[in-house]
Amino acid sequence: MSESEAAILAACANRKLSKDDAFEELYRMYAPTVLGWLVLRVARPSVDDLMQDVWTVFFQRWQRWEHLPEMEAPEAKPVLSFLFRTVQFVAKAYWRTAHADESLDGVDAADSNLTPERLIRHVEFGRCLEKARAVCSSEEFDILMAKITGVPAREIARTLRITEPAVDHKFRNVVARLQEELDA
Amino acid sequence: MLERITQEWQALARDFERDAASNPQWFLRERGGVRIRPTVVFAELEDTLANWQELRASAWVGEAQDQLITSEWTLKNLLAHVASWETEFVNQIQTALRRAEFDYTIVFSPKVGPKEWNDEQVGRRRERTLDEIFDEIESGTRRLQDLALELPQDIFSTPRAFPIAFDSDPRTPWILSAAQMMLTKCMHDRHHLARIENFRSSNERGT
Repeated sequence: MSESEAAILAACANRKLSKDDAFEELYRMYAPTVLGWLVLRVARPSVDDLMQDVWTVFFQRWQRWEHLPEMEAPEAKPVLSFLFRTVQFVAKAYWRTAHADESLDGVDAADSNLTPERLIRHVEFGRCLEKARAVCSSEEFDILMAKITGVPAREIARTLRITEPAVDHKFRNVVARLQEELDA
Repeated sequence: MLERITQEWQALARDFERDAASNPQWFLRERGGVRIRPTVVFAELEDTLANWQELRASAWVGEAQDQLITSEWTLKNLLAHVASWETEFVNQIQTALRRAEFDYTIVFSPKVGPKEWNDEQVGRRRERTLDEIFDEIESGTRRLQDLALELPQDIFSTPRAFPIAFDSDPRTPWILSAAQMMLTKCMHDRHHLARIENFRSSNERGT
């Protein structure tokens, strides 16, 4: 497997990697990230459907993907940015439709995929994330998740329709606030 | 703190690797033929809406609106063309929702498309301001988003005849589902957005 998104895109553009193989590598590279974003944003029963939606959108776009020179910079990450943007959009659709019966805590009784062991691990590993989810606004949480997963600030700003300095400002604020909360 | 939250994120992602890595292959087998859900259509429409809003917010579009982008149309005309299709797609899907019949057909001609219909629609919008044209694009897209989430399953997914004849014969209408029609509208938008972006780039290069 190639070691970075830029390498996969370049290999595909140079026909060293087929479109399908490149898609598969991108999927393997980013599926856990997309799943993580979704689990932290929507109720568990909807995650699988929305995961499929995000990759369906990307699959269709991938068929006509245009490789531009500016995408070659290691920090560009156009696919990760596209996936982040698409997660935002499918989540918006999710929130527009009725999901009042679903709990966001990811421990829904109907969820048979989470074994007790995995559930405990989530809680244990997720204290900081849970705190962030509790104290951040939706936008702040999106910025935090995007930043720690490497989405470029420019693309975060574009997706959330705010300025790039606002992204950085909000990120610094939320990190400071979280630190205070955890110290308290 | 940032390090800790990043570690937690990485642990979460590792936990998902097993789930997530299981099946990229099914996308490839299906070749994009997976059932399109309303959420997908909504997301695609949201993407085009965001792109139009970005264009609207740029100072450039106001300055360039009267420049010729094709041999016949200015940038503003082209946007009026997009707006006219926005409204047409909404009307056609709403007619399908009412389960009513269409009493007209938009007929394409080889190479030039539905030139007569396009010219008439652009002509109707000639006196409108750029803002009014963008308003029509945005409200049409938002209405399609509402429809994507509200349409009954049979209208959303079942192919039916729409009053567009691609092969010049009005007796052979376009047969597709409302979902496919809305995705086609997104492709149409992206086609023109790319064209406008190319136009802007060549303007900036002074060519």
